Amino acid sequence: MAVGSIVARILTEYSDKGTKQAVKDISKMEKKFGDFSNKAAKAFGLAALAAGAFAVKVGFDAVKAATEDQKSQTLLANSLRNTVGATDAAIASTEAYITQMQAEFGVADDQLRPALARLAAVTGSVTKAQTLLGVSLDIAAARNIDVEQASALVAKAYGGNIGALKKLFPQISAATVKSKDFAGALKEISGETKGAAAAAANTFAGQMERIKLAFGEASESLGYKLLPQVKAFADLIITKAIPAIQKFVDENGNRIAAGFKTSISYGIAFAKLMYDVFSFVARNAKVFVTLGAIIVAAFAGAKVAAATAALIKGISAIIKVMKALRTVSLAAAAAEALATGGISAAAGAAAFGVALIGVGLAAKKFNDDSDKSLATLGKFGVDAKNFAVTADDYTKGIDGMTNATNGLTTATNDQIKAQKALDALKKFGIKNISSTDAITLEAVRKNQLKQQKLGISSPTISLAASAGHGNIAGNTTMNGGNITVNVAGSVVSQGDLVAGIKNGLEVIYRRRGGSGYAVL
Amino acid sequence: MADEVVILNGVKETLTALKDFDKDAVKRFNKVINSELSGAERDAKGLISEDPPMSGWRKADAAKGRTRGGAGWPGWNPAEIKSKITKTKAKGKVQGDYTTSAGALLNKSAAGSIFEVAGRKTKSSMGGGSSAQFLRTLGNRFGQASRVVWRVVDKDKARIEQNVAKALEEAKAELKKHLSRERV
Repeated sequence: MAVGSIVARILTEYSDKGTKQAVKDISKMEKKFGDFSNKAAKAFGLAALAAGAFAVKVGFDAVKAATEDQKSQTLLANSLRNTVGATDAAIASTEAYITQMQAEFGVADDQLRPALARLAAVTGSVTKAQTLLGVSLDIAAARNIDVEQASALVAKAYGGNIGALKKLFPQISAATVKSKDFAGALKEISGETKGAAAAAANTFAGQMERIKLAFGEASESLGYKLLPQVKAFADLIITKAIPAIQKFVDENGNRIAAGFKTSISYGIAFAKLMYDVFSFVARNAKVFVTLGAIIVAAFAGAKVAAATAALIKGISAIIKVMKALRTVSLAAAAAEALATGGISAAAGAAAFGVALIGVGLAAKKFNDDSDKSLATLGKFGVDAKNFAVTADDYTKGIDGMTNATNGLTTATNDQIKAQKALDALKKFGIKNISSTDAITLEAVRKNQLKQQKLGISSPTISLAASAGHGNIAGNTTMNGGNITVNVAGSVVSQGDLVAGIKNGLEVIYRRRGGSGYAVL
Repeated sequence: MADEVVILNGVKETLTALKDFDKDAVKRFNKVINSELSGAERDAKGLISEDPPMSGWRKADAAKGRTRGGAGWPGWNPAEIKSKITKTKAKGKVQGDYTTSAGALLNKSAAGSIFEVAGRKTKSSMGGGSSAQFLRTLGNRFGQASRVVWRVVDKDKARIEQNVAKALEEAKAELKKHLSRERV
């Protein structure tokens, strides 16, 4: 709405904003209304699903409300019987009276019943109690306190203690207090309290409270109808289901417990095994770093496929060891084996170490049998079945593996050198070469380099005759005229120079018509 | 204004639920509100005269000075005043009695606002000078304060409330009928 403009409201609507109790009640009702309308609308499209859920919710609330209401009614009836000797008819009449008061004044029956019971106890009469309940309602409305509190004050005043009431209503005279004149006190406050409850009930808030209570009453009524079914269900649970469960547990309890015990012991054993394995890995991180180095070295080489195969075999060896370890650990003697945690861990470590050696050897030779890794177990005296090894075996295994790894590193370096040499030869167009010896390959490369150099700077050698002695180009050179040798480009060796001159002279010889004249 | 107030309840919920069953019924309800508010708006605009309420009230905003006819004193522009008399269904601030507006008339122009409320607090009989004379003249010619939208609301509010409340009841009855029918 515009700010600063003049607003003339025509239509007014209730708003649930800015209130506390009213907002709570209204929003609850709105929600229930909204839920109902939504669910009702959907229910006819989507069968009874939504409506069913709503019904369960309503039913649950209703049964709960009915249960509480029933308890409240029983307490009042019991109190009236004990205090005033009320008959069943009188109790029924009192309930009707309470229902009427609730509807008329918007005060919950849960509040009215204890108040009435208290007043009946003090007055000894249901009729008087009902009259005083009306007074209490007025006092409660006038002073904005709850009915139970008001009825307590009225009960005290009825018993002669008017002082408490005077604290709320100072207009009560001291003389009245002193004389304990209950009727006089009520007369003195009547000007302020008379009709207060009715007036409060007719306010907007009071009307909302009455609507809320009416809704609650409807809910309770529904609950009363549902109570027998709930009770029957509860009886079924108590008389049938629980005994059946109890019987089953009695009969099978030991077996269930044994099953759990076994399961738990296996669980513990497996957890401990896993702990040992991971603990081993943590303690031997360097070993695994070495394994990583082996993998890198193996893949850096030329024979990748062979290296891969070797690695697969090596890893298979590890898997075999692990399987053996698992089998042994989860066998019947699992508990005992795991109880000696140190030995088991050492055995696992040794097995890992040996398996890693297997990886190293296989990677180095590329085509070795992977079973060799398992065979090495025997070398170190490892009993694969019982893992009866000591930590020393593991240390030996690690040492052996280190040596093997060093050997592998040297071989790999050689191979890398050879590969570099091969790559260098590719520049000269040489692709297929059987040799892998780095020295041979280097010699080939140098030769190629030399040949290339010769090819690029091959000298041009031409011969020319001196003037007056003929012309070589015109075949006129005669009788030992001087011949000039022209060389363009660099000549690598004397042999090359001689060969060039010789070739030139042969040309001259042929141009003279094959006369057989020889220069040299 | 009328002493008794009709408080509408459950408008939004009713219309939201009713929309699922009968959109025409929702339209009918909205039409009632809109036509009532439009009628009120039309009546309010009819109270704005083409000529200024008094001869000294300029038609254009004054350039300077502080007195009537000077700067800050809005000119009497009937077209602008009328265009700024509007209806609204926006919800305003929630009052202490937990109510808010569901329909109202707004008078948003400065000149229109002065014409609407001048003399509402300050009585023309008090004091002297031009202010008192202004209020006296305005009162004599157009009656006491509440001269535009409030006047219309005072006159028609009860009737509009009744009509809208009746339309709401009909909408609720329509919804109930649909729900009952679906439940069978």
